[in-house]
Amino acid sequence: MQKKPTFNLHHNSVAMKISKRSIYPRRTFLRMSAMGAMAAGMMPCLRAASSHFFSEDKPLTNIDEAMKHPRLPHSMPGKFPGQVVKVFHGGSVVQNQPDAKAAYRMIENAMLELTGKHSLKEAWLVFVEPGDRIGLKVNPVAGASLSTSPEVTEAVIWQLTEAGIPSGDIMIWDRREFQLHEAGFTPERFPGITIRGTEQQDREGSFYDATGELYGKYMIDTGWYYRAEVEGTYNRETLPYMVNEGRYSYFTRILTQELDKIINIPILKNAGSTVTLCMKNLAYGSVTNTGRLHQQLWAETCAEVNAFPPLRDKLVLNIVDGLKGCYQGGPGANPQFFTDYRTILVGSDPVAVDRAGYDIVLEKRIKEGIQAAEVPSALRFMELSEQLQLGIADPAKIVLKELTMS
Amino acid sequence: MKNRYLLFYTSVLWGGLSIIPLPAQESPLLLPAELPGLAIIRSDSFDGPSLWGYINGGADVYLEYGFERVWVQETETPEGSQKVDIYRMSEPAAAFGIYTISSFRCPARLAGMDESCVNPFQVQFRKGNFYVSVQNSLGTEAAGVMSRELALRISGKLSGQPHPFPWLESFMARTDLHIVYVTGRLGLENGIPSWPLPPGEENGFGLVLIRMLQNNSWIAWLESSDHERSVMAENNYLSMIPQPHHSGTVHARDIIRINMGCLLFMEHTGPDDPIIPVYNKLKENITR
Repeated sequence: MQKKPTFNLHHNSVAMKISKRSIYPRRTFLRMSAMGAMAAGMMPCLRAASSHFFSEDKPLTNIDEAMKHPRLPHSMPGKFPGQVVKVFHGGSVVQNQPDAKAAYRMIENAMLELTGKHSLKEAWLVFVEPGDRIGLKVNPVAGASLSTSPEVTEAVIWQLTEAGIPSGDIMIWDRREFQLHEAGFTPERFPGITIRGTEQQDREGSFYDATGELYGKYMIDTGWYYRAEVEGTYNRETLPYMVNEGRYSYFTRILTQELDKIINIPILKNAGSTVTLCMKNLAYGSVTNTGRLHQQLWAETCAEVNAFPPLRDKLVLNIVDGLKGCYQGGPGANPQFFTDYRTILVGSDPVAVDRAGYDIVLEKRIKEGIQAAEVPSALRFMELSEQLQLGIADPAKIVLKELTMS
Repeated sequence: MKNRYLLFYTSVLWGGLSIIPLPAQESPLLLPAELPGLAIIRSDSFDGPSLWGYINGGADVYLEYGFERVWVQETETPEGSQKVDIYRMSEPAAAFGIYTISSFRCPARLAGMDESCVNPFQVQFRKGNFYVSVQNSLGTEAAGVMSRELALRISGKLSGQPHPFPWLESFMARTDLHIVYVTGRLGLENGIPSWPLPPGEENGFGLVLIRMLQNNSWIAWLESSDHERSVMAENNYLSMIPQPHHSGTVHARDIIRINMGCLLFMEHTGPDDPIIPVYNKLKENITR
């Protein structure tokens, strides 16, 4: 970990402009329906468009089982439903690198704004307390160039330790331990912090132990699972990344047994015309056998896996690393579409935060000519999440507080 | 399959040998002796669905097009680190599709390679059934030169094949056009996100969109695999395409049936629209 910065922790010293909107402006949606009529008028040979070219029969899942578990007072969306703090800092990326000190200040101001507390320690203690085993769920899947930055993660760790959380109780985690290392989350950079993944390799690079068992098999909790009527079958080369086949996606024991609270730190990036932020990072990062879920159940998985208690009841905060991100090419890394958003989003409500991040990415995509208008299907995972009471997706109900730092 | 160590030692072992063009199905790996100071610090490969292990959900669109194998190399040179991804797709059209949805507004191209895209941080190109990306970490002029050098070295190892869409070939060098080829739902979401799926199954079509960047006029070529869907497409699909893709006033849409399974249609602002000559040339190329 980089040397901890020494600077004034009083946010009043920051040159900052705050704007607060009680009503998130509703975007003017451009719909295709008008075009249908216009085209038909121009071309008499065309018949009226059919209402549906195809129907989607979604495979069944065990979401009903998840909903049977009683909600807790702090269950997702947490202590501040529908509230998002968006911080922009023009100096947060320096020479193409995120600046850890700027990240620290941005998160500090966001935490104070979100909680209404007067000190940073008080703000953090709204969400965590000494004795908690805290997991920082980062997104390392696109390598060092497009993953959650170590700098933002460091800033979170500094603030947690200042709030009295021992570094030994903090873990950086994801599905793939080797990808954590590739993205810069190494023991050398983060001494004293546990770095752990469900899918593991030994020093020789093998995913299998001497008995022929996947290391990942020891990391799953078969007591918690997301079942979907889609069969996953994989060859030997693919299985290490899926851990198991069949219709069950098991939760990682990192989540179910080794951690008490989760702080979610995704990176701000697109996935096609939608985004892969809080909900996606949690859902796909917490369960096995995900390859089968992408094609037919992407949106459902993003929403429904989060409805199970290990995620629903342990997530306390979301901090979107939007210092550097992308607006196209995601979730993979394609540098021509990288952009310095210089923004961090903070909120306990992962759905509301996703909606705020989505709007940032959509605005950039339209500006760059990637797409001309919103694609309704891009909102589906957020709408499903709201239906499951996991957060607020309706922009009219989201309170977005914007801070500008310099 | 991950062959990290095998590939590393193979690179070292063969590094001193001369470089000869390889058949399209052979490994196009960079070798340490190809350039002074070139060090290969990582070599991996992933085939089939194990691509999920490399790029997770990003793998799906490659699998949709038809993916066979990717070689991943990380190199160190005096100009900084470079990351090389060499994707072997199932056929040239699949590689073409991935290239078109992965590149946009290319400020420059590799010499003699119309299907290439050069940016400060990245060089991409398509050759045969390969799609190649070379990324550098610095974005400097020197790093960009090295990215181009590595890309050309890799290209030299790959065999070219006839263009999957010969009628498009003459347009590929034009920087005022954005050309995208999609074959399924994910390609559509990534390449033409505002458009609806053509009628029929999610992956049973071929769609080429040629967009005029200055005014968003467009030409689309739609291939449908059976007659029924072709008729549906002709009757319905055009009316479902959203107007907002166009920044100006729509004056007309035009449609022609090329043959039983192919349609060509266009949206333009009038007879002076710069897309019109492109459309006429395209019709000529296709029907020739």
